[in-house]
Amino acid sequence: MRAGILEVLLLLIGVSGMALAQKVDPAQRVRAAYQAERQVQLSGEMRTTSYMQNQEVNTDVTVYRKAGMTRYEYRSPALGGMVLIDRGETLVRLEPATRTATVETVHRGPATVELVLKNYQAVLAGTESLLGRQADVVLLKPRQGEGPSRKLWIDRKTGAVLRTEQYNSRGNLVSHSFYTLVNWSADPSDSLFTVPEGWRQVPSALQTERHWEKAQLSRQVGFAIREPSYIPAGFVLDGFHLVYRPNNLPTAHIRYVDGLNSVSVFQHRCPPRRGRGFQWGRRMGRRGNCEFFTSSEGNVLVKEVAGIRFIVVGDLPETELQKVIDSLR
Amino acid sequence: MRCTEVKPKLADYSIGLLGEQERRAIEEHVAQCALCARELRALERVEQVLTALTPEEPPVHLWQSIRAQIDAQSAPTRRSFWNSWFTLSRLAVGSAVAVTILLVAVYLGVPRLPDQTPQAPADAQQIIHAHQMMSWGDPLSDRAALGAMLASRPSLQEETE
Repeated sequence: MRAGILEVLLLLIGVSGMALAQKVDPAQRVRAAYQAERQVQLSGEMRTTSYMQNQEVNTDVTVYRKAGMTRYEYRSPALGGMVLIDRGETLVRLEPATRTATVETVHRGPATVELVLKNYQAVLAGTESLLGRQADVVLLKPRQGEGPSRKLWIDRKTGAVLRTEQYNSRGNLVSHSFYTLVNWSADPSDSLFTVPEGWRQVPSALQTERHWEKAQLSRQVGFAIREPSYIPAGFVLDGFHLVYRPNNLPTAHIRYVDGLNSVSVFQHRCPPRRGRGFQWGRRMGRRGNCEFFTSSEGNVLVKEVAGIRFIVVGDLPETELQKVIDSLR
Repeated sequence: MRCTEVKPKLADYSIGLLGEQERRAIEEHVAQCALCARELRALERVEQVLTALTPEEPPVHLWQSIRAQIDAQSAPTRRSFWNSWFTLSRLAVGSAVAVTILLVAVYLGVPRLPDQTPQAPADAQQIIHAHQMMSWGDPLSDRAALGAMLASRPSLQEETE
């Protein structure tokens, strides 16, 4: 009799222990995924698909990760054997055809995983087996209003993201990427994260410098830059940046982020032009000085006031972009 | 709606002749289709040009002139050469002015349709590229996909050369 009671108790303890083990905090899984981006070392094969406005880009990618650096080797012939090396502070683009390495500065602003979790609710959508491992499927969806969402398959053991699906604010799939093979014990050579010897190194024409003060940036672009007084809820200032565009027109770039989404406000002196309008998109506004069009990266609103062109880009409804551009003072 | 359905309705849309439902459908389509947006812009430009024209007041003696012609037809009498020439020349000048206005309007308004699928112009593409590039450093971004998108575009270094 006593032995029977003991067995039942042990069974109950075992069942409750298993239930506790199964209880997964999705926010913690997202934090683990964020940490793993910098800590996990591996090599693997990925397949990625991006849906741009009128085309679909499919490619296999060989990935190497080590010490916070990642190398992406694009296998699709259409991409010409392109290689991208993320070295944390810089992103190097290797073009084998011309043996040229284009170096761009990578901006890592205030958008942290905590900002993501503040604006997006992490929901556990289930657990799946991927590549013979357990992965928690976590959905990140906006806490309020419209916005992009993301679905992550996070490796239970390491936190590495094994599969990602990215949706825009209209709910359309923008991209998805997943590993088809992972070598968890790989030790990629350091040379994979450097520019090969003899290659020409050039800075990107779109070199984005960061940490500009507003006054300093205004002097650089030659006019007093304006900040919007309206920014959608949840967004924070990422920073003031300077973009050197190919025509050497210095352009101020103010960026706001909410974790997964971003709004960019570009402003530069109007280049000389012929004819009426910017010839960019649908004309709107009372005086016809505003134009709107969409791209795969989101909506774009352009406005010219007193010789300055303002361009607002973001995955936001047109009405929200209009409020942003109208609030520029 | 498809472009083939939208295009025939753009002219009516531009002058506000469509019902609420059709108007919304057109707006949704135009917001996403640069080709139709461009065509609509061209139509709106024609409308702007025509609206901007000051209505021409008819000459004081126009009706008298017309009446005279009617009278001449109903009761044919011999008219002077100068009288006929003056009437005809006025009509010819009026027609020429109308044709000129129409040609100017058409010249300004007719869209230069691209041969390929329309995209944001290069100027805009660079801005969008800068916007997109910045998300590389955001947490949990799909960098493999982002890289493929960047790699599928020409190098920005090449664009400057």
